[in-house]
Amino acid sequence: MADLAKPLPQFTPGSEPYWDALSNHELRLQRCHACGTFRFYPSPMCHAPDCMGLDYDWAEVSGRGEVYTYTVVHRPVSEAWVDDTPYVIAMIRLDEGPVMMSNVVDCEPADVRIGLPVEVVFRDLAEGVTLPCFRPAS
Amino acid sequence: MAEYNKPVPGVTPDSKEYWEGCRRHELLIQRCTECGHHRFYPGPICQAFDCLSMDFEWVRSSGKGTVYTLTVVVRAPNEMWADLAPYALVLIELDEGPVMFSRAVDIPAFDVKIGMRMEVVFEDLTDEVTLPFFRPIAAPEA
Amino acid sequence: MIETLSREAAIIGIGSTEMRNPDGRSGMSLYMEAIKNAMEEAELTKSDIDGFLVYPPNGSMRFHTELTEQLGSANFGKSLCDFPLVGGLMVGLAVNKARSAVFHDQCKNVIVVGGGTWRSSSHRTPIGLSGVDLSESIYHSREPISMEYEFPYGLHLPALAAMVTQRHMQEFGTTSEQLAAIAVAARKHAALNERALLRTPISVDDVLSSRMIAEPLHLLDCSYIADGASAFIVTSAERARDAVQEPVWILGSGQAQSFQHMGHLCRGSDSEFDLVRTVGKIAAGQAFTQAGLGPEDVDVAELNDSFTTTVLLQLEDYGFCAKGEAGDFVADGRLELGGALPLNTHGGLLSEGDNGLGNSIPALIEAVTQLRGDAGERQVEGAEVAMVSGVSESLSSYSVALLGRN
Repeated sequence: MADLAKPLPQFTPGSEPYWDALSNHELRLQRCHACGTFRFYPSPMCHAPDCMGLDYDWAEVSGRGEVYTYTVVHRPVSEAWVDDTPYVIAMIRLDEGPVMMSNVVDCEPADVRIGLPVEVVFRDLAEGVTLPCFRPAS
Repeated sequence: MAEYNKPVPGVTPDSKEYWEGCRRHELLIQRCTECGHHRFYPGPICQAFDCLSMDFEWVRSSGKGTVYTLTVVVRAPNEMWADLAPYALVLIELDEGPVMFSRAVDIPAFDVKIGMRMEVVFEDLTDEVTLPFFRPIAAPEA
Repeated sequence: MIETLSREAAIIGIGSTEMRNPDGRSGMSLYMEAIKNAMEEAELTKSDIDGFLVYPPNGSMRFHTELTEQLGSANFGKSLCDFPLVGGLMVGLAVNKARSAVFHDQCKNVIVVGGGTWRSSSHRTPIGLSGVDLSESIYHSREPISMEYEFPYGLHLPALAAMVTQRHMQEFGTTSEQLAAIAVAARKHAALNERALLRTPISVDDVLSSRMIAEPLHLLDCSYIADGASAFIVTSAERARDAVQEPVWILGSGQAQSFQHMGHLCRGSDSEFDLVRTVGKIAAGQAFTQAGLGPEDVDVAELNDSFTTTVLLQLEDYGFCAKGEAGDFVADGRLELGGALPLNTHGGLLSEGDNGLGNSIPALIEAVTQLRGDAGERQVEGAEVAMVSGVSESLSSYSVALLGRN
């Protein structure tokens, strides 16, 4: 049933290295050459205050972080998510600094709390499309 | 009915009655019930100067009008229209006042002139959509 | 210098449609009705309105010409037209821009219009929050970049606000009961407003027992999606003195935006702002400075309540109470008519209805109604100063206007 498909990420120009790394089950973020700051989401210029660096590399990160905030969704966004409900959407603060949205998986929603240590786990959605999710750190 | 290979109009809540009229081969325009001003294209509010009435009735246009201006399209916008070119796109000033966009039919494109008297003719494009075109009025008008 | 703009422009006409659209009328039709009602109330003609700021109900970037065509007058808006396509910034930006245009004599009268057909144009699904597929509203309102990094996780608007709420609860001990008090006050006011869609009084328990949408937000913590349009007309101080309606003066306005993505909104290590410390503080600061007023001068507040949390954050960031104390502040009926700070006296987005784009205009219209003394049963006695606000869907952008009685 096509109607029930979850939306796949729509790639934008410049983000290919991010998604390519994910399909190899690696989490790589941009790191500024000038000041060393990691950033997410992928973008052309360093986000650090007082840095306007345009040069960067895609550096692998630890995949570890903690829950900054979260919600347990009981009313899904569309029918595609009914079977997953309730599910956890969370903001994960990575050890390297950036904060990213994700799902917390492989645990009971009730066990999620702010500050919970988590680690990345890769979910293959389709050929060449892998989504980074997080589970409680082992 | 042969497969129609060109875009068909999108219908809005404001234009539903108009397109239903076309299917019955009736050219409907709106008439403000407060000031009597006719309007086209379909819209929710009177377009006369200093009238803001939203009350109107659908009335049947005579379907007669005059070529206000035109162009003959020689180089079609894309392949879809190539079989029609050259064709005359016309702005018809209806006798009731409003000006509408259309295409001249039943006349060689280069013979269409500003000021020419025209009348509406309907063509059923699909089972759902009928479009008004304009052709020269053959007989002398009374 | 900036203070001189206080009372240099006034609102002299307001107009609205109903918040419901059972016949499935077009967005254009609703807009025309709102414009007509505002113009007729102000006794202005099409050629008197030489500026307009509109939120296109159909998303069309040609809406300015569609609008003038519908009115049949090229004189309508001949000196200024623009689209304040800035979500929650709309009300502050529109007030600011309209005031500037009439103050500098670029325009005589500027009309601001917003609204839409959020409810009737949404795809219906059997699982709906009030029957509406939340994906429709959010997918259409976001840039593609969000589709890349946020939507694959099953995100909707209430989930964004829920994550903000969770943070507020964690840091300040705010409770669901406290949030519910905001919804209860809104509903109490809606019961006195014939335009409101939800008018049956509710209790804190009703809010807490309504279905959970995204923890900790319940159904009744969320706005009620509606159709409708509303408009207001701004003119210069000089013209306002001859206006048919009692003018309501623009005392100040402000706007500030932060970031698009939640990941960036969460930052805070390198700035004073994060999910629960918003740039609303900047927006309100600008407005208060222009007006030469402070939070203690506000008699009635018509603040964006897309969620109960939205109100909570604004009360703190606008300075009505200290950071972290809004939970206590909203208790004991303080926000209800007769309380110290009557808030959303029309019922707000929670109970009057949320017509989507430009949903901050109904709040402004209620503020004008209050300051004219025309609010009937829900009149705040002696209201001299009103605050109006708009807030974006991810609670990242804020705009504020301060209005004053003649």
